[in-house]
Amino acid sequence: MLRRLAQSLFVIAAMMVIVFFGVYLIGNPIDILISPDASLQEIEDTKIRFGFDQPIHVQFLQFVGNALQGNLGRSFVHGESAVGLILHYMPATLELAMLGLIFAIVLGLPLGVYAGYRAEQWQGKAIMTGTIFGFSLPNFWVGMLFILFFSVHLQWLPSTGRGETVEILGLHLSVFAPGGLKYMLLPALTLALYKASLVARLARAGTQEALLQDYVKFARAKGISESRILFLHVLKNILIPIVAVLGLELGSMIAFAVVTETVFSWPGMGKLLIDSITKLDRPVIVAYLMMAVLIFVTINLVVDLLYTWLDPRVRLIGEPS
Amino acid sequence: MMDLLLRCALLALGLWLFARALRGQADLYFSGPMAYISAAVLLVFVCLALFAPEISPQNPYDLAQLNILDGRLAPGSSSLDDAMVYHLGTDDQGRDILSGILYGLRVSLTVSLLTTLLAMTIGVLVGMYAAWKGGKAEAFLMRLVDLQLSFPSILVALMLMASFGRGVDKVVVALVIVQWAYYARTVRGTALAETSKDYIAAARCLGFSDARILLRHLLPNCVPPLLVISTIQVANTIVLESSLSFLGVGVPITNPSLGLLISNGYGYMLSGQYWMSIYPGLALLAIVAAINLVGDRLRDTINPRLKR
Repeated sequence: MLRRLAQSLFVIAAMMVIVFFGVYLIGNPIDILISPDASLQEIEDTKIRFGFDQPIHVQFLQFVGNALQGNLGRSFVHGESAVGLILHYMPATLELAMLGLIFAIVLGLPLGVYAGYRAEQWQGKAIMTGTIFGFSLPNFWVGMLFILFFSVHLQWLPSTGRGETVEILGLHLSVFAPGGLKYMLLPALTLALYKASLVARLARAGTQEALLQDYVKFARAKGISESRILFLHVLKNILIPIVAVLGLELGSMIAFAVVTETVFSWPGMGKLLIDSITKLDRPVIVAYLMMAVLIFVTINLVVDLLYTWLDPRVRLIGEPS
Repeated sequence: MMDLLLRCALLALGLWLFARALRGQADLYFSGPMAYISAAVLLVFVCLALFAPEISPQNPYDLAQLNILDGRLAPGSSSLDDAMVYHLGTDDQGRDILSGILYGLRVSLTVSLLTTLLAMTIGVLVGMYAAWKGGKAEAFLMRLVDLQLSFPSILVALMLMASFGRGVDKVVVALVIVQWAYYARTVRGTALAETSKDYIAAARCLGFSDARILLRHLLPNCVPPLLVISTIQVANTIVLESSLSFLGVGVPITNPSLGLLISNGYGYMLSGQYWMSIYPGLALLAIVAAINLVGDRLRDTINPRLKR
């Protein structure tokens, strides 16, 4: 456990080194910090102010020191601290990813279990072919089709923006706001489609395996209805690996939200990232990158720990078995 | 003329590789209508991309052929000088969407095939080296692979493109960096299983050099599982590249892929001019789905036990 924690910290440290050398050394930070027509004196002053005149290891230590205090610089465009900006946009992304995850489970799990039950019949095969389309459809294109159909054609749901939010525990969330949920439906569904296919495939494989087990035969012998066997007994047994995979997928949901947020103009941190890239707002890019690393490392760690807790047969690396 | 011959040769090479991958199990592969449909669709799209200059009604990047007055025409309308009919409409520059799709298909396919080839080469070398060497080198390389795979591909690609800037070559480099790890992990797994087999021991007893054993004996036996992943990875790469281009950090405007075409038309979609993004999107969907379906069937044919 301690080893696993140390490993996570090592990953964060390694990423810090990569980010520092990647972003701060390859491009000349002076060029983006001050206007091109600044005088030589001003350039020198800025260099000293930001510590660029120091030798490289001192600069790196300063970067690490600042980062540990949660200071990754100030956004050029917004004039706020980059970390604060990310934190401000983060709840919108997180709630979108969570709702997407819920949709993925609600859509994918029943379909997958049913496909596993009817694996050899046409229903199962049709669902499997459907999941291939789910994998194939590019995220942004699905979003566009949804907008075209539900917003432009039927005019049922709004196409862009976030709508109302309510403040819960100091966070502004749309899910619980009466006018906010309808803004979330399309982006969350778009985000969920790929994961729903993944869940369906996992659930199908698990169900096929579980149906051969003795407890299913026993339940059938007891005369329990097929649907009860499938959605109570089988589901319980296939759930653990699916939950573990989905936990890991939460990270990739947040990453893929970059695309979905851009399509739907959803004001989350993914859209912030794209805007920062187009405006060359480097501190925000760095802050997003470090935040993303932190989130992924945390998710990986939590899932690993949860997994050993749920299934004691799994051992962490390096632990005596 | 040389160019045309070269493209025909490429097509033949592709067909030969496909036939090799099946290795006489064609009837197992061609079971059910989806197998025929997907293979046919894929073949048609590859031909369209290869022979785009011969097929397409206009060269969308030859500015002399474009007429700005033909901009944003609906599908089926004819050009101002009645010289041609725009079957799928035109974009804001007066470009024929059909021609744009054919040329965009070329960019998308070139980027993804090149990426897959390079990433596979790097991954195979790293994976086989790790499996062969063992010890510290293996532990280090595989940790690196784990680290890389724990980050979503789109995020890593986005970050790389943000620091590289736009460009076809840069997209390829970024995508290779993103994808080599998949191959390295798979090849290492296969190679580990293969190295413990008798034929490797026999080759060692014969005193062959390491390089010869690795390349002549081990490599051919690591290839089948690779074929399956690489097919699916080609499709993934197309989607990834189009997403990057859609976000504006992919291929440059002068060399648009399907993703960039969709992105260009997106602004006009809400005003009802749907054809600029919907048709390139349909082409993208069709080719990606066809590749995925073919990959799925290939996996079932080559190795029924292999699961995604």
